[in-house]
Amino acid sequence: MAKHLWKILATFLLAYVLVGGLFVPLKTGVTGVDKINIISDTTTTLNIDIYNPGKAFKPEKALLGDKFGFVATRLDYNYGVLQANFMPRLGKEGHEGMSNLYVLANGRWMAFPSAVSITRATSDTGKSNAQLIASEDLNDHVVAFPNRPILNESIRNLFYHVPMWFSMIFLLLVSAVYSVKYLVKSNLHFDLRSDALIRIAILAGFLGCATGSVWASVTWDSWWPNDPKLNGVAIGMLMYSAYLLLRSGIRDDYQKARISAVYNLFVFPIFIALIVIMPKLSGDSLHPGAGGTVGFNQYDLDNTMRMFFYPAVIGWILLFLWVASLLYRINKLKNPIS
Amino acid sequence: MKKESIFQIILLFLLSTTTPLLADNSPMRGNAKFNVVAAVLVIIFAGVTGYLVYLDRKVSRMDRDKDKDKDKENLS
Repeated sequence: MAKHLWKILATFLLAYVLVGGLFVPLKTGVTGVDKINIISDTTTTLNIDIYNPGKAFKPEKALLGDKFGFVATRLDYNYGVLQANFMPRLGKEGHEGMSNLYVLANGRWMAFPSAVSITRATSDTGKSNAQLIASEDLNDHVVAFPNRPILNESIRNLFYHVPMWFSMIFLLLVSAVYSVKYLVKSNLHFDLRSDALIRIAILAGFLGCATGSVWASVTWDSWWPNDPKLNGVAIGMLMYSAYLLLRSGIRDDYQKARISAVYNLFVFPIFIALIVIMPKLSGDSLHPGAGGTVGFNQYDLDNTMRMFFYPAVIGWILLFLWVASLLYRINKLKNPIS
Repeated sequence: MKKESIFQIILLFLLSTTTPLLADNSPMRGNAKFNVVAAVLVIIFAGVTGYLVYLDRKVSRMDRDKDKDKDKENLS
């Protein structure tokens, strides 16, 4: 029983992530505005879509801007839609352009970046009515996932897509360790272990690609966007596919093991460079923590997400290790090593 | 620790964490398709886990049989 505890832990953690990932609601958030352009110095009514407001939703303030903003003069709320009247006056010194929208409700701020563009009216030549917005740090203690623009409900995919890649990297690292062990001790058991880990890492990689592709189609409207991380992953997966071809072409077990180990040790650092270092060096990337974007630990990941994200990473790694151990044991039974 | 007590702890933990969430009435949960998605995910997860357990037990049995055969060969 004790030797199977880690397998029970994997199943338990993934069941917990599956239930939590499905049933924890999204926080109340702004998902859309009916106008993309408003003229200054005239009263405009914006219909703001509120997602998951709940019965106790009580809007307190709405404003357009950032550090300096225009506060809504009137708020009307009908379930799911907040009507806010704005009369922005840019004045001589105010800048035209895109403005963020912020809504304060039930003591919590919600943001919708680049919501509307404000264009200066010809009559707008007086003084601006923009106010300095005090940063109010209102912490809420709701068990709910963050409601990020574009991501919306798809944020739950974080518990599947990211752990797949973490699992792949972990499995490849362990396989590289076994490759080193084989080269030192020439024990074919190490080669079988390394081979099983690589095959399951490739499976994790394909699952990571599939979950990422579905996520990209929902958020970025493309199944395979032109992103340095994605292109790096594609090259890396091809290199590991070449490993399978290389291995299948050699008959002598010891020669096969030696060449596989050397190839694995050669490919692993290149793969890491392609998926971790190259996207950081490139100018731009859609993925968090690469190019000009911030890492999700600084921006997107809140404590409710962490409650499920870390168990998901551990759970998926353990599950893939379980599958790899099964593959190793089956291969060992098929090819008995004296 | 006994097998039953481990499963009891797991069940208690799952119930304590998920019961407050079941009361929620978010738009996603209000959608009828949500139940289909949840059911499919649960079936896939249960199927994969069940198959892994089955395979694990089968391979363990084959390992034991192989060891027994080896012992017999050594004795003879």
